[in-house]
Amino acid sequence: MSITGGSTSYIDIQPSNVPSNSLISYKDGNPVVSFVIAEQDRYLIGSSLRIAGQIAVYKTPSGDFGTVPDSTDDVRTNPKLGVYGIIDQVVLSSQVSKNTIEHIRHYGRFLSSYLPLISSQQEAFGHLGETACSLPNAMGNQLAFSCNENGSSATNRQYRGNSFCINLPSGFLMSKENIGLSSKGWGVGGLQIDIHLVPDSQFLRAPTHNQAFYQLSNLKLIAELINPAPDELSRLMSKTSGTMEYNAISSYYTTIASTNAIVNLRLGLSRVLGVFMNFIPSANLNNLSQDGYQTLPMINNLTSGEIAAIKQITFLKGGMKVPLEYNITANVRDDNSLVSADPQILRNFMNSFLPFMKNIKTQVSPITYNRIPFKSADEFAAAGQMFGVGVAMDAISGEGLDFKNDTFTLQMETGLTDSSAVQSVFIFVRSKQTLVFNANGLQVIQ
Amino acid sequence: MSDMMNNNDSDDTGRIPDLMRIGSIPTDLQMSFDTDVLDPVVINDDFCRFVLPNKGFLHSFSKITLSVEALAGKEQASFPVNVGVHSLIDRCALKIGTTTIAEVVDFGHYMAYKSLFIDNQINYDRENYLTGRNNAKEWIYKNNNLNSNTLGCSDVNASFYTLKTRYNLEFPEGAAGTNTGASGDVENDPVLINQNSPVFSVSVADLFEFLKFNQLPLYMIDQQISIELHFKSAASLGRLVPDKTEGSGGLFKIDTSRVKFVSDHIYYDGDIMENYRVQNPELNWTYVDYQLNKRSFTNTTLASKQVFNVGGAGRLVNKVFTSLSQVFATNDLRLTNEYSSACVGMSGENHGLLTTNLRFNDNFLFPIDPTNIAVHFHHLLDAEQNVPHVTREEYSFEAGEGGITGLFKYMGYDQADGQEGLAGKFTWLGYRLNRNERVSSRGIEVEITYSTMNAGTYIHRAYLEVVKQASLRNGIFETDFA
Repeated sequence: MSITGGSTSYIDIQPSNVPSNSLISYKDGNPVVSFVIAEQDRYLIGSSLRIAGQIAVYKTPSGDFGTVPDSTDDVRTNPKLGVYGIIDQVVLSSQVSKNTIEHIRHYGRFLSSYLPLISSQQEAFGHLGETACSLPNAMGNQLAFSCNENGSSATNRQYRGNSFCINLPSGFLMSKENIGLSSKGWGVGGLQIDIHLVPDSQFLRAPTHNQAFYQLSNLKLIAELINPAPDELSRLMSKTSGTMEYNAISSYYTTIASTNAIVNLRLGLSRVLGVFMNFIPSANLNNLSQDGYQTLPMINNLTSGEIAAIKQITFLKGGMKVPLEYNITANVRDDNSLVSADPQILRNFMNSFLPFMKNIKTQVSPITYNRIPFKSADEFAAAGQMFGVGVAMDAISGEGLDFKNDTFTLQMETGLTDSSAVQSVFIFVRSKQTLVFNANGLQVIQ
Repeated sequence: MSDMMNNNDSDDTGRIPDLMRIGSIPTDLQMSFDTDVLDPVVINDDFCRFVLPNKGFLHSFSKITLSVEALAGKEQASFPVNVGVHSLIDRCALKIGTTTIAEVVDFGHYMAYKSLFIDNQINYDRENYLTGRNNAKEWIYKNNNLNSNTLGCSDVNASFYTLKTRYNLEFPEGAAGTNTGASGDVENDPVLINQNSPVFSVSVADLFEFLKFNQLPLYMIDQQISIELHFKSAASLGRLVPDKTEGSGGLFKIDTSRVKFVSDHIYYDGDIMENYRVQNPELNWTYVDYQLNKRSFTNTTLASKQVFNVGGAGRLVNKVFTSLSQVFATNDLRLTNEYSSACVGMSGENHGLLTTNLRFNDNFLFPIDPTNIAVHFHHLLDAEQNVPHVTREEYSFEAGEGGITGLFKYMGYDQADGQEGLAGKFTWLGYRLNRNERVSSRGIEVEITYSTMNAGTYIHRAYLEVVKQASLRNGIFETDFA
């Protein structure tokens, strides 16, 4: 046997705070799951990290488990997200220094726009379905995921529910640089990953089952580590500090309820690449009667099916029209009866994720991005509405715009005439950040 | 380009790029093509051989066209949805002189694996007509089989999905709210069925994977270059899949008059090619080839841990991928024919457990034997560094009450059936040997346990991707294991 260079190894880690019965659910008081990748003289390949396990959905509790819903029970999850919908926040921090490296809030809301915009329907049928247990239709997803009776019978039971193995899209983990785990000056000093789970009422839509809940089992983290070759390790040991650059996601939340909607944010970020946001009536959040992950156009009144059109959008930086030096005037401004979406709003929204011309796979189509009035937020073809607003700040240099001292402002002229129809706005900012680390700890330069 | 310009050579030869490596050729380098349509020098229903002219560089996506004669009584037959026309080839070999450069055995099974990684949108748009493959999916909204859901037929709620074809796009619609409507039958595109004897093509880069990264300098080789295809025996019933109503059997014959090699040759302007020859009297490069290890098990033996050696001793092995195919007397009455890999079975509503690991150089690849089927899928992705495009039900059987439709048949076959359909027929396992070590004399051992399987005999295939090195010295080609 000859070693021809550095090698890699797989790791398999159990959560550090798992209960004795290995069952994890928000309902039973386990809202946070923590994994610790210990400090060691190796690199973590961030993109190889996966959270794996099994998830079951129950309509009513029964002992440690519950009763699996059938197709008549109408217990659904969001078809765009699948298992990703259980995650409310992801916190990545150093195991040794405890400094936070990246903290993404409203993770499911972020992914409910991100995933369908950059993956095709065939991919949603395929590998997203296998890894995240999602299928791109609410009913199809309900039957295949919520109604999976695997494990209900004691005979030859191996496990319960659905198997999943998901990655965690985040700037730090998806960085192309390998993550040093050492605390001796060339790494972050181990990695702690805290996953905050969402309440059952956010993950599930179960209008007739107010005790419906989800439960995780056999949870673990798998990843691949690089073992530096001896000469490489000896060179690393002489390093006293290092840096890593990555695109981080920062999230914000606000509400709007007027025809002149203004969002003002002090981002405090110096290299902002793009901003995007999605909407949902506030009443639909954390509500078992509604799917809290839908990304709907703003609506005045579900009963009448009236959509509150966005007629004009202006993006401002410190009071100046930046990056677009003009207002986006939507096609519905002069004709409120139009049901086709505004292409300019859509293009800028998609462009805020990745350059529009490079985005060759998406689920956005006239079926999933339109202004057709709807009276029920439960009935959409394909994976549902994929509405959002966004803008790329810098599609050329890749260095972003400086919002350290300037305020980001979004000004929208909307058709929100019903003051009781408060709309929640989830705003996500993609920015470039630099992590500086040495033997004393680490610092994130935003 | 700038790297090339930094070379200190003052004559033209110093600016010759690496013409063999695809991707290293500058965009402003002029090239020209010619295309030959070659007949095989030997052809019958079992075998064919092409001899390539020693000129220019062989374009890696040159094609071999293949077709099957129309067979009475099997008009609706078509190629297996997941491998297409590749099912006709049992073994392929690239030979230079008397040296076999690359060879793949059980080629249909090998391509069943490689086809996993083709985006289904590409399958639907392109591969359907190039190779006869189609594993794209679409929802059925006109859904009579919505169990007892009160929504009945719906324009927004789709309970099941089906293979996506360009034919029968409108499914039969029952009365809204009913649970039992007339079922329909999804058919293949008529131009792709045996009645019309469609001609498909196979890329040489699919036959010999190293050609995806290297283009052979045929003009520099002084030996005979030949491609040999051993066809799948017609009697094995492994060539096509008849419509279910047409029944099993039937000897589909290769249409030997339509087997051609459409060979594209690349030439570069001026003295570049001659200078490249002069500059490289000896060319060396490494490439990968595939070795097959095959053995049979019964469902009983699979229920307990099986540890077996799959070879690789003394070799540099990048990865191993494996399948487990159930043996049927009538393999042709399955949508995938014999080219599938069985998932662990079910006991009632309960899924079985598939446990595996791989051991080489006295160490296990995974620290804990993986049992989670989604983790197996991840390791498959990791081994190939590409995403398998199969659905959850196809890979892991997990589909609850939904998934692939059983009501709307495809060519008469129940798509949701684990035997004749697609459910649980794509469970390939992948292992990437990530320690960067040469395999010791003990070789590689695979461990598998399938807790529940349908009664029957299964063939386990393990393909080892081994590294080989080739040298072209003064027109003479040599190859050996790295």
